[in-house]
Amino acid sequence: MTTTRMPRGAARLLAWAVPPQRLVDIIGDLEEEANGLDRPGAFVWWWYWAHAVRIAARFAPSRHRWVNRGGAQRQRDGVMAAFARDMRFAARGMARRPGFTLVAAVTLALGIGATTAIFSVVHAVLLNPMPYPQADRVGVLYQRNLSKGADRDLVAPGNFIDWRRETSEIFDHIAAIGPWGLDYLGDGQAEVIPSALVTRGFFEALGARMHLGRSFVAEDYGPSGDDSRGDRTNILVFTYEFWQRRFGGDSSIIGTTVRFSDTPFTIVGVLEPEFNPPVYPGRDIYAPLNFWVGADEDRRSAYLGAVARVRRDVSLEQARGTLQLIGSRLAAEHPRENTGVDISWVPVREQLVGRVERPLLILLGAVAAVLLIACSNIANLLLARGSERRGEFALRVALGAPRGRLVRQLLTESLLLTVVGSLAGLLLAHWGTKLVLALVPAGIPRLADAGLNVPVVLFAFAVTLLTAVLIGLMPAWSATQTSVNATLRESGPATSAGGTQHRLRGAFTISQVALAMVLLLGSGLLVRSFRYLLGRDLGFNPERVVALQVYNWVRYPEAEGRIAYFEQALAAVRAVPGVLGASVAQAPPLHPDYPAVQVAREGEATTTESLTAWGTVASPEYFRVMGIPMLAGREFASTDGPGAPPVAIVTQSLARRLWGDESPLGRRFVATTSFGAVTMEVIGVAADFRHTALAERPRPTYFQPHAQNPTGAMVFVVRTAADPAATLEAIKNAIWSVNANQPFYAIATMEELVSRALSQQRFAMVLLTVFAALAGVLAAIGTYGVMSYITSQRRKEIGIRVAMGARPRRVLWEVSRQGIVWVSTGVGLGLVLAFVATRALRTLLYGVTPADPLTFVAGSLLLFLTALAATVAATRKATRVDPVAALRG
Amino acid sequence: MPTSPHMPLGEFEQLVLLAVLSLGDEAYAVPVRHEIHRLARRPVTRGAVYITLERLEQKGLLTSTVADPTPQRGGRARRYYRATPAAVAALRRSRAALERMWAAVDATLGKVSP
Repeated sequence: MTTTRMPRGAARLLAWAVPPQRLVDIIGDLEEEANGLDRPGAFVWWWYWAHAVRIAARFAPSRHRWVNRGGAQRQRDGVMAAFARDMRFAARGMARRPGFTLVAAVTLALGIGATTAIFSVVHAVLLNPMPYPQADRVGVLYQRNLSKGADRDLVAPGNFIDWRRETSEIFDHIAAIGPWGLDYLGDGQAEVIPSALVTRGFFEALGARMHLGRSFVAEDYGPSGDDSRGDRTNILVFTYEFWQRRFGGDSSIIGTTVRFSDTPFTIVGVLEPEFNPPVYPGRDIYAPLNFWVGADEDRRSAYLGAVARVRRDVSLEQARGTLQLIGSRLAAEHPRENTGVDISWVPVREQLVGRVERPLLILLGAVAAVLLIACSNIANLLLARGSERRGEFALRVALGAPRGRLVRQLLTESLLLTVVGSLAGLLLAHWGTKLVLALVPAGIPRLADAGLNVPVVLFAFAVTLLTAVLIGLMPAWSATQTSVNATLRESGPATSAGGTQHRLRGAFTISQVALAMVLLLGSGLLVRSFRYLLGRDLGFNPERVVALQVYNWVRYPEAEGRIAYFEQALAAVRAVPGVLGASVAQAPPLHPDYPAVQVAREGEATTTESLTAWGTVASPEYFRVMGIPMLAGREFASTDGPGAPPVAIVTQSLARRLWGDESPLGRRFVATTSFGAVTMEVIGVAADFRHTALAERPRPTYFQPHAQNPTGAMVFVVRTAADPAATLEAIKNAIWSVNANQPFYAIATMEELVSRALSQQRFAMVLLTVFAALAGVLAAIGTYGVMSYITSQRRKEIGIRVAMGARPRRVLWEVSRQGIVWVSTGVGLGLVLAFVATRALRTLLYGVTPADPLTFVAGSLLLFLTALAATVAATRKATRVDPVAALRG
Repeated sequence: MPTSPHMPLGEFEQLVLLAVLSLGDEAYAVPVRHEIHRLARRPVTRGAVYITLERLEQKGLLTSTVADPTPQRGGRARRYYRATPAAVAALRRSRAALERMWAAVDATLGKVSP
């Protein structure tokens, strides 16, 4: 048998590609197979080549792994070594000019730190996925009545039951949640645990998993799973956090009985950590919600939160279309209550972060502008330094350094500077994030995640690299544009900067001033708007009033008990030294709980067109305690009891809507609630006041005396002579003296509530103002830097002029003129930009338009004068030039 | 490149290891390729076999020894491969994973079909 050998070229190809230790056996294998082919020599030759090429192709991509450290590796070493050399050189350069380095690093630290801090909040709130699986399909359902300006009203039980019945084709799960409170005597002190009642499928709609035990099943809602029969099952599910906090994470709790509100409940499950629903958030305990008999007819008391998960095979548009159809059908079926009411499905993302999305994005934009100003500042400084080093660069080029090498050197320097700045910036971001978090309005989910985590640090890293390029590229490019001959021929530093550099400086100054202008005007508008809200008449006096919420339905199931309880407790509180007055109200100002009720003059039927007013409950002295002026008539008295004729106090706007300019005293009106119609006689008129958000206008409201509508959910309001904190314990003890087990659901001073109501506006205003101030200062420093550099470059020329007898003022003008032109251009450009940009603020502004003339004029004057001052400060030394020294130097 | 022995095996790696195991003392590249071709019924390129053998050896799943040169091969030696215990363990893990996945699929298919 003849043996064929592999063609030499094919063997070489293999030798190039495959690991050396494999070469011999691969060639051996091929020759072994080739010899078994028994085909003509030409075929075999082709066969060898074909397989050599294919095998080599397989090995070639990973070739570098087995090739000995060859040329490529040496070249890489060279690159690393050159980089290290550049770094050492840059570090020496920085150490030689500590002042420059410090200014640059601090500027960069501020810019990068602020950007990172805002980004960490944006990341946590807006970029993090929502805390529900497939969150884009989960939404909150609201009743919407656009004709009455009600965009997101909670849902009445009757409507919810209708919706649930009609939507099985579009929703996997639709469920409702209602607020609840359970009293718990843990460590001897009574306490209300915020709880919630939920219908079947609530946890499933939100995709919540159980940490332990089970969630609610059909049987928990009455024998056949029918939740509309008023059945009651005393079982509970805890949140993970409550279970950890109160029961130490004891897993044997499942199946045991715990007493809440004097009733034994069986604990069936513990939810996974961090579960929090998008409506009625922050509840610790969940129980099955069973509707009372007749609830399916109640379409008036809108208090349920509803959530729904859209089926996977149904598009969101389809779902919305179907909801619209169902809404109009129900409106037709129940014209009395539902005319104009449709169903809106709000995605959880919008529900949870919709409020802060715009302010956060605006702040991110603002902070990016601050960073850009910082960058252009440093770029300017580096440009100036570059001019001083032109001799050095020219020498290096003359000695054979490639220009690319110089660019690399300069970029390395800016990178080192930026890295130093960004390390300090990360430290600032750590504190900055805490500052931002302290200002963010309450109720935003996932805020706890904000901080220096991996994505945020990566972001900071990317910003650092980008910054390094931004600040380094222009000066580097500019520095290498110098002519070697011209520069080397000059003995000292250049007499005047090149035209390109001059234009660059101008562009930097103009854009800095323009950006600062936009931020300044934006913050000016927010400040004006905030002052407007602060200065608005609340209609009540929040000073030294403390509010304590109690629920005593369970403890006093009978109306008489509740009336007596509040009368006794108020008597006890009024006896406390330092208390000026005390009362109870169902919903004092800035309280979330305001039920809307349809009202009409007596004798006129309530229709869908009827006036909607807020109906609430108060006891004697309420208006005096809250500082709400009585305009006519009297306050409630103890004589307005259960047996007396029903009376009411109306606010001025309700009186006007019902009776126009006629006196309302002694007139009667009908209020229709889910519990029936009540006719009341007006005994007093109170001034209007702001109920909820301070931005809203006062709503028409009527009050009933507690004795005639004895609800169990009431808030004690107490006005004290001094700081309420000092008297608070005495007040609590006085209330406890009537019933020691009565817990307080919430305690806050009215001033705290006012401040909380402004938190969203305050958040945007404070941060934007901080950034605007930062931008203004940086722009002023930048302008100063540019102008003093230009002045120093013109020393010789100025010296000649002064020697020739030029007047100092004239010289000053000559030198400053360029700066003034730049600053004015920047202010003008900023005004135009701001005119467009401040429109984004529209939804955050109250009592001021986005193009408010006063803000625009004051803002541009402020910035112009600041920048002008910086210019003059920098150029003033030109007038003090000693001609002899300047000419010699 | 350090490789964890617990990294899951690719499908072709499994085929090569199984071929090496089934060939016993006769496992070198040429019969490995034929064995895969014969039992897995798919065309296999030489390059794929060589680079996989190389990779498996680097992962510590194969060891190789060079035998005496033979005349059919132009006096060049064969390189014989042997699977290590780690390879056997990795193969067993892959098989168990597949079987579990199949059991789940079978259960579902069983429900779907009448």
